[in-house]
Amino acid sequence: MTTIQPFEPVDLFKTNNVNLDILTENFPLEFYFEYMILWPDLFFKSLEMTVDPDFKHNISGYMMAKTEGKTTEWHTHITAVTVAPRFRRISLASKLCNTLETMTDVMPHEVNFIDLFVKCNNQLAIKLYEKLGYSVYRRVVGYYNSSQDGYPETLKKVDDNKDAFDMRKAMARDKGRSVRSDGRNHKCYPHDVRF
Amino acid sequence: MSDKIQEEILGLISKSSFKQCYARLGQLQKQFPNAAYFKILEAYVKFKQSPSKFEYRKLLDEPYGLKGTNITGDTRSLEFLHNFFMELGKYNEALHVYERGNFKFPSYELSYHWFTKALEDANYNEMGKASLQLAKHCDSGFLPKRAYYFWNAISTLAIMRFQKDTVSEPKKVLLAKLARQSLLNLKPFENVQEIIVYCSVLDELFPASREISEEIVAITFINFDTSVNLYLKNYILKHAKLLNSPEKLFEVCSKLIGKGLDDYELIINLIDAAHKLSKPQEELQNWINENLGDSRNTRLARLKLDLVYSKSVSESSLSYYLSKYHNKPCCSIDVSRYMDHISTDMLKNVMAKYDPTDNDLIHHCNALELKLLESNSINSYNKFKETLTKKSITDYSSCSAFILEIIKSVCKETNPDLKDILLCITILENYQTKDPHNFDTMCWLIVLYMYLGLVPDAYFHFSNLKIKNVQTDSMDYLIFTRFSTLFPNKQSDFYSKTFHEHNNLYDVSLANLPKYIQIAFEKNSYSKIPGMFEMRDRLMKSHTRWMKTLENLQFSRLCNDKRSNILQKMHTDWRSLEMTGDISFSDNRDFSILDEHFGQFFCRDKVLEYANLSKESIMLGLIRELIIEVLPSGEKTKQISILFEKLPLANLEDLLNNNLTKVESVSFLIFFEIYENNGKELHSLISKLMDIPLNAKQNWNISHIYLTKITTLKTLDSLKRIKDKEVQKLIKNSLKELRGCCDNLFKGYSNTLIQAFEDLQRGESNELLKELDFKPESVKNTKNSLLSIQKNVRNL
Repeated sequence: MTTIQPFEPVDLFKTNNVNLDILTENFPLEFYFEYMILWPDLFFKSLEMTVDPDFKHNISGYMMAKTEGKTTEWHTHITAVTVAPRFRRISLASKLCNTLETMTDVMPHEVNFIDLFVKCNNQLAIKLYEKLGYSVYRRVVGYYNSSQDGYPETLKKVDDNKDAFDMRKAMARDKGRSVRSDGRNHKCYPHDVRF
Repeated sequence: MSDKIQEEILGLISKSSFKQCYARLGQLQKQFPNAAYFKILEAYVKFKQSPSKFEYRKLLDEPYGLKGTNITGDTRSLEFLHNFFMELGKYNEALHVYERGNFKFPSYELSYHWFTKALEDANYNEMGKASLQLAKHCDSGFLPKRAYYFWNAISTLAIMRFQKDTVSEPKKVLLAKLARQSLLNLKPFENVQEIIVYCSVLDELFPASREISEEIVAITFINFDTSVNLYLKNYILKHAKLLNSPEKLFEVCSKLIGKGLDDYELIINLIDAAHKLSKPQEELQNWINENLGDSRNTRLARLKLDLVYSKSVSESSLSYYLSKYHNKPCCSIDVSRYMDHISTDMLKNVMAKYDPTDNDLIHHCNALELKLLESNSINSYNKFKETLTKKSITDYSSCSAFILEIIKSVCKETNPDLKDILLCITILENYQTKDPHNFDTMCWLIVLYMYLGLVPDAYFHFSNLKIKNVQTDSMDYLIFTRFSTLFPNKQSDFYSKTFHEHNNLYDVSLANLPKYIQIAFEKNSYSKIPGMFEMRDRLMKSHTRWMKTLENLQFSRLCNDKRSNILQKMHTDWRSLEMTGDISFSDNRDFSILDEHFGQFFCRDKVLEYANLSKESIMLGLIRELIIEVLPSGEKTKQISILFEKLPLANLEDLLNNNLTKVESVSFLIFFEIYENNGKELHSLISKLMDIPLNAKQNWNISHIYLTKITTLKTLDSLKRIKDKEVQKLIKNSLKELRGCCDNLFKGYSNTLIQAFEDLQRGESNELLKELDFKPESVKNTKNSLLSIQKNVRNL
């Protein structure tokens, strides 16, 4: 029983059921504000209508996204999409992604494609995105490198735990430019994915 | 130049080099005889030199106050005046100087400064006035004129939402009309954000009416032809319902669903409207499926359709939903909404159909939550514990529900047995090794260690939760409540790292928010601004923030450290609270993470009593620290009087008993007695403090009572105001007595814990651990943890 609602700043007090998850990042307040300021429509939550917020967490997940790039590269980027453990495996992340697509395929955004980064070894997530129509466009070598790892010096050395797949879903106006059947063989550096 | 001079003068003030200050300012005034800035600086020096003798009326109020004769348009003078008035708690005057400056020296720059300052001060009235001035001078600005009318409308919305009491009723009507008319003049609106503001103005500033609803529906409906916005979705749905027209509601909902919005609120309104329009159920069902496909919402829609069309949920609809969701964690939440319309037998039968052997963990949990099965946590855990070995490490297991049921049944007790608490800790520690990232169980583990006063163990698990940034405000209560009397250890990471790092939320992020909100105005991100105001307000008034400041002050007193910096910061924070016109605290703590009926664990002698701090407790803590600050001078302050007025002091004893622990209450009375009655009853109150038994409760109270006594006595010992020799002697002797019994106190507690551990190895508890296949915890860890606390406490 989910409704999709705008994410409000004070919701950050009520997302521990989502954000205490070990794999979910807790950003500084300023980072969340930056998204709310620059892309106010693209930060939204799924809310469970039957849960009384005075006693239980009623936010089941949220989406944080932005638009960026120029001309044919103008696109939506999914920064974070996350779901509380209690509401997993019911396609809620897909619903959030679909809502984002509904919103950014039309005015004022009218993007060419939607993209996201996923660790190359995260098979579950890759499958989920493939089901939603995303496909691997390229491999970003060393995208998840730590400061100790340093910046990648070559594209020849790949590591599924450190590299990301740049996955894209093309909108009709993109005319298939963002779909590559051999995307996994295309490699790039992290600076190539800055817009 | 002025910045350097200001820095130089403030530097001299901080060193109390007032002669040099005057000499330097004299020099500058000779050089610039007409500069208001140096005259204001001079007044400030006089204030700092002797605050009590400062001639406020003559030197500040008459020239620059609300009816002042001097007006300046110099932005540095204005800023300094603003801050000066703020320091004196004259909040209206602080912004009034900008308003007057604007009338005499109108300019875009000055209006912009006025708006920014008003935003920093969270004064929405002044923001509204400044925004209209900005619109007048927009030729010199960087935004089009229309933007400032939206700024004005947002300011008016903020007044009505957050500072309603600061304006009269006629003014409210006037501001609403002004906002609406100004926006109407700007039609057609250029983007969705502008439409949202206009809808908000109509929705929030005017009484509900058909005319308002029709206007909102009309303006938003067209918008959905070309774009999809969630704020507008809410407005159109709300007002389409208010119109009481099923045709319109159906049209709206079908249009939005047709856009691909799989939203249950839209679906149920569509169904209600369709029913009123006598549309056939099957036709509607097919339409929903065609537009939204197979989803949780569309399967649940069948239940709603049944309910609306035939007043009860059919077995086929229930089956349709349960066939896919009977073993999903959301199932019990979803079904419980319709429980009044589903017979238990039918639910039991349908559920059983999908897992006849009851072999699915989540199905089993759902059946338990829907009360279709008798609960037996131990059997359930044992039945499904094998699943723990098969799950991925970052996954959460629903087995935690069985474990937490055992834990919570113990924790509901008043004064739970130490052995039972240790049993719960043992169960949770064992479980955590199998489900290491489960935060539900981890939070309870923290609570139980805190209940025993074993803060280092609680901190270990708290660190594993990796709580940071804004999360700290809602979660820090778990380990930092009453920390000055539970684990006041300067060297530990607990304080030196985590406590300080977590305060960055207030010291850095909160301080940055006005800048961010200003950017939101400039970027036309209007829809988020009211929420940003609310966020800022709730952080400023945050219960956790104030609790930590007060605990830090008490910690400093315990260590005989200088408190001037913390006090100065507290006064600045206090002013930001006071200027909102609403002295209150915002409780942002998240207790739901522990249990939906969390209240049952808070009462006196329950496991969460250590974290039970009400808004009144914070208020009393604030009064205590303010009293202690002024005790040396014997002054009575306005600030303390304001806080007293906020509390029901008629029955002080009840107030203290309901909001503080017993030892905290007596400690409060001691300082209150000196403040109010010059300590006439001090001797008997100190005796009363000492009479509170140190070890009556074998848990966190051991160190809490001991350290509250020590802190109180050390503070009294440092007060030169106490001249009575008998009282002085009593303080010294009491301190000596306490220090003398510290080791024995902790040794005694340690022995009690060891005994409880030994008891755990026998009888029912041991049987239970065996049944769960859990190993007993090592008593050595607990002993070491307690020893580290003892060593720390002994040295204080």
